[in-house]
Amino acid sequence: MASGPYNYSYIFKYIIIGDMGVGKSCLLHQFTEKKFMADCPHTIGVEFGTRIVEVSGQKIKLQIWDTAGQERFRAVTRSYYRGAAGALMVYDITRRSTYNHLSSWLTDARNLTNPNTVIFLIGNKSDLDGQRDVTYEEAKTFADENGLLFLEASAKTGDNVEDVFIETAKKIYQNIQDGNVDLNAADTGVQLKPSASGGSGDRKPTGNQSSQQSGGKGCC
Amino acid sequence: MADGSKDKEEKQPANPSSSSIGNLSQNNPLSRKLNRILETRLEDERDTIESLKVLSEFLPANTLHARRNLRSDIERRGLILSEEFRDLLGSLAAQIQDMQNDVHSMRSCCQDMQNRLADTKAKTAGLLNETAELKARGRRLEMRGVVIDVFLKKLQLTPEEVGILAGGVVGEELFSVLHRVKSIHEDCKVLLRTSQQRIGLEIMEKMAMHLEEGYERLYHWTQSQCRTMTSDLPSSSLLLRKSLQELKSRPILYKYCVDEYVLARRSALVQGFIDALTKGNNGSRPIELVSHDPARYSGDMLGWLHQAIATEKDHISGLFAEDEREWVSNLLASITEGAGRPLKMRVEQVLLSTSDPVTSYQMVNVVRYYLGVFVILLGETAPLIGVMKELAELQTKLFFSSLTVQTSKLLEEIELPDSQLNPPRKLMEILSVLQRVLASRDISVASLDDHKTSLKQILQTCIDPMIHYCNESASTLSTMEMAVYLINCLYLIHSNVALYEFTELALEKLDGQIQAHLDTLITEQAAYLLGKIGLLDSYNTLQTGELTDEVLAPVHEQSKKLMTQFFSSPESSLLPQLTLLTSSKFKADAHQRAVQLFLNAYRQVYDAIKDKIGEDKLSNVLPHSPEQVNDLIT
Ligand SMILES: Nc1nc2c(ncn2[C@@H]2O[C@H](COP(=O)(O)OP(=O)(O)OP(=O)(O)O)[C@@H](O)[C@H]2O)c(=O)[nH]1
Ligand SMILES: [Mg+2]
Repeated sequence: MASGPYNYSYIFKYIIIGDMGVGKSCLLHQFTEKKFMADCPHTIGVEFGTRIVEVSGQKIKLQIWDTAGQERFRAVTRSYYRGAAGALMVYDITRRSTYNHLSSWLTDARNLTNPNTVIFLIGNKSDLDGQRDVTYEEAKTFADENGLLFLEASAKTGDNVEDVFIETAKKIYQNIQDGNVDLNAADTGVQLKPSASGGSGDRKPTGNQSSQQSGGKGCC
Repeated sequence: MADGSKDKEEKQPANPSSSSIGNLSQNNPLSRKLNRILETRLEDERDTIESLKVLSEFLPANTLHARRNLRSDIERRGLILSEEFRDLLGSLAAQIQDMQNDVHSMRSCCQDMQNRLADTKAKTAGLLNETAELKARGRRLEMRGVVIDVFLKKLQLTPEEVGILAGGVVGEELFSVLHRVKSIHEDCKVLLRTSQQRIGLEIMEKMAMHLEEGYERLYHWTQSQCRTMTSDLPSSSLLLRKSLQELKSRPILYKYCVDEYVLARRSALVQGFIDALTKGNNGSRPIELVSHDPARYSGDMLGWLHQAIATEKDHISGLFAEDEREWVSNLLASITEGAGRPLKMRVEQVLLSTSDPVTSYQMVNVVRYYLGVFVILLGETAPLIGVMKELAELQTKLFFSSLTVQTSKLLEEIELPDSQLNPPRKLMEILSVLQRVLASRDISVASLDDHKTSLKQILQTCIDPMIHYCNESASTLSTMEMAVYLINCLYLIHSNVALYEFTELALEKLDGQIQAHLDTLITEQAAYLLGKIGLLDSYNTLQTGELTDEVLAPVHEQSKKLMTQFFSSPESSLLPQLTLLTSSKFKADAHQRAVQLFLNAYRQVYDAIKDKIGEDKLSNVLPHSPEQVNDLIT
């Protein structure tokens, strides 16, 4: 029972954004199911997935919102930026246009999330190196200039997929440790899960910033 | 006496020297005797020596007297001794008598004792038997003791266990006691199949009681735990989960706990929602800040709820370990119930202040999108779904009324067509509204049927009044002008609507209307052409009956001239109104079909005249054969 699906101490909220067809849903599927979904339909509005990961000995539940890339769903998808602790911004390395749109996605991400949101740039479909349209170096420079984490990944082979989700969680966790994230703030997309292990003995991972955990009033 | 004789014999050797000459006669008995005496070695005869010593006392001096009296002395002495001896024996005899008496009494004592012993022994035998029996019984009891011990250990609770059931903190111990109680209860069923039914039933009854007690405690604890789950992220422990699992075997208690949980979560969700709307915790912007943008505002509210529902769902499935979808949906439906009111209030508020049909349509679509998403999560019957359906309905109603209002407002004043027969400016305005409405449909994910139905309604709402308006404003025009003007208007509408999916029906209708007006144009044009070559009357007469001479006469006179004129530049023969068609495609099409119509008419007239006057005279009247005309004007 101790290793059940409920035994975690944080919830981190992620949002996955990027042009349609770049492989956002496939990345999520690969991460949660460890499978590649070859003919994935376009996402309608938003989809949702979860998985528990371990970072620095802490069990963390990732609550991931996969948004539709199609423009017509913006009215729906933009409501999900609010309160994301991590934003995975995806482009397709074989389609330059998806890379060119990054700045607009980044603007959205910056405007609609909070300053502490960890933004991870993902160049997806790295398995299609032969059809590459965006070089690693170029994207890396873009990421560095904008203070983004960056990796190329493949939802098909699973290459680096695990890493992007976990690196993001590590970074968020580090922000918490450094005191950059106030767990009281609903918009951080981080929720402390009090005392997953039992009784009234609350586990307080960082001591000073977990006072809200029991009975704290706030939205999620 | 023997002693005396001996003494006498021994006395002889005491004088050996006196008889030493005796050796000479061996065969003499005396000598033999003497020999024998002489041979006797005194050293070896101690007794004799001793006797002699004693005798010497009797004979203080070896006098004759003494020797003569020796015997009597000895006898006297013997007598004395015997007397002494007798006396002694007498006392001895008395003593012996005493002793005998003692022995007698001892013997009777012993006899007594023996009797008593025998008695006791007889008695003890019974005791021993009894003891052995008792011992055996003891062993049996001991055995039973062990069995009972085991029995108790197995089928009874220890005082500690009873204590745990009765009070103290809820913890692992309580669960293990509960499990024990249950297993005891179960084990007792075995007893029921034996001769020990009564005890079995008793224990079962007792265990049932304990179980109730335990569950009662667990229930109170769990319920109070559930009641406190009002934080935005409820704390739930393994213990609570375990308790709930345990309580599942008491459906009513379980249900009460679930109810308590739902109640707590419901208020937590509402509180969280209100906070997100009004305060937007620490640095986050309150959702109400975007209320100036109604579509975004409703979207953000519903998006927040969507995420909250997902979290609640997660929490429920973790806490209750219930997989049944409907069960979870029902819980979620109940938890989200409270959010309906604040949502409704706010959406209605912005809705009523919105007169722009585009905005209200965007709102309709957002609400419809979430309606689809939420129905899957909460089920059709959830109160929140009800609220959202009401909202969607209200929004739809308001949208259509604002669309109607806007349309009719624009079309209030009839604008007369300009000389170029262009569609009126107001038409463009309405179309731009329609266009924005149709474009914003793209965000909705309502079911296709729903969408088609509402689209049909939207188009109807806009298109019919527009067409009506065009007809009104065209009322002062000639047939030709009217046809051209209406085609231009319809065409504008058509080309706008054609940009969107699922508008086929409306387009078909528009097409039909356009074709009708085109037919008018074509007929007019063909008639105009026939008129140009002077055959219109002939043609018209031909439609109703026979060609007469009166009809043929003018043909005779003018047709040759007219035809020469006409066929020298047939392109100028287009009706001027036809050039005002904004669609070049329709223009060409109308021309093409008018020519065709004209050619058909020409052939009819030509054939009729040919029949009437004969082939030879025909060239005077109609110099061009239909084939030639065809070549000339196409
Ligand atoms: N070769 C290759 N194909 C991929 C990879 N990831 C996704 N695809 C393909 O790309 C297509 C689009 O993937 P999706 O995951 O649906 O894209 P999306 O970003 O979710 O698209 P929207 O939902 O419309 O926004 C699918 O046909 C996938 O098979 C990858 O890593 N390698
Ligand atoms: Mg997708």
